[in-house]
Amino acid sequence: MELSESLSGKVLVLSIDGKLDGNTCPRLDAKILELMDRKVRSIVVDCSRLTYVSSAGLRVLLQAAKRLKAVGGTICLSSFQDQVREVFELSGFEAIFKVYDTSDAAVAGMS
Amino acid sequence: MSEPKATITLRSDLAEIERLSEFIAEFGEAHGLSHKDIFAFTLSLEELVTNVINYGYKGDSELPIVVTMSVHDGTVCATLDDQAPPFDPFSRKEVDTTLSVEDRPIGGLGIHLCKKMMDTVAYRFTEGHNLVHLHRVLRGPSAGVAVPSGSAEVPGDGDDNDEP
Repeated sequence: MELSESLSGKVLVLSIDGKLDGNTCPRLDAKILELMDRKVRSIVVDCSRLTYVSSAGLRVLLQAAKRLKAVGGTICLSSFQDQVREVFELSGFEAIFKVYDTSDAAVAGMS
Repeated sequence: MSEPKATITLRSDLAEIERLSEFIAEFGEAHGLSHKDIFAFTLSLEELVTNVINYGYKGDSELPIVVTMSVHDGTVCATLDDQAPPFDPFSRKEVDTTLSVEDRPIGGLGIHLCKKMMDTVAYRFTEGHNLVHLHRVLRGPSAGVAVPSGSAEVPGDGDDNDEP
């Protein structure tokens, strides 16, 4: 799993490439905390190259949403592959996260 | 000819998840499973094995976790066998997926996903072994629509009569 980031105005786009599972999710958790330390408050998680997510990965995203909400920030998701979308739907996470078709649309929606 | 059945023995170590995932992918490719089916078993078995390692064996056991997969008449069966203290993973109450971000508990999603992705799940404890059975009717690459669980034709459904 690889993480990469880019800034678009005040919105940070964080791309996940690969699998988000019990082994890799601590790295995402650490990255989110680092971004929050850097006072980033608007995060788009670009999932276009996310091929797999387990409940451990979902927990990290839910934790991130809770932490950001507590400081007036927001996190949203974009560009799901089919199977990852199914996991989010089955988890009821579409009620928690705003999901966009593309990261550009997400950035526009948050700006 | 590929065998209709395959088994892997895992150590109580989260690093084994990767080997489990490779095992499922190889089994899936050998038997023409769709990506959707491989994904469903990878997710379900990862969740169950992770729970056994973290809560059953509490991380430090020498005891193994044995996962067996077989395919028969368009249904894939997976069995997970561990020797941790008796625990039925499906006994937890249902996750409320309608709660808001503030109220949503952090845990419990793994088993919820497993139950959603499988057509049948079953548990029994016998002779010191926890045995979890998962059945899923295969969806072809273009099947697209999930088969309602009530209509699944699963051999041995509910009887727990699979061989060890």
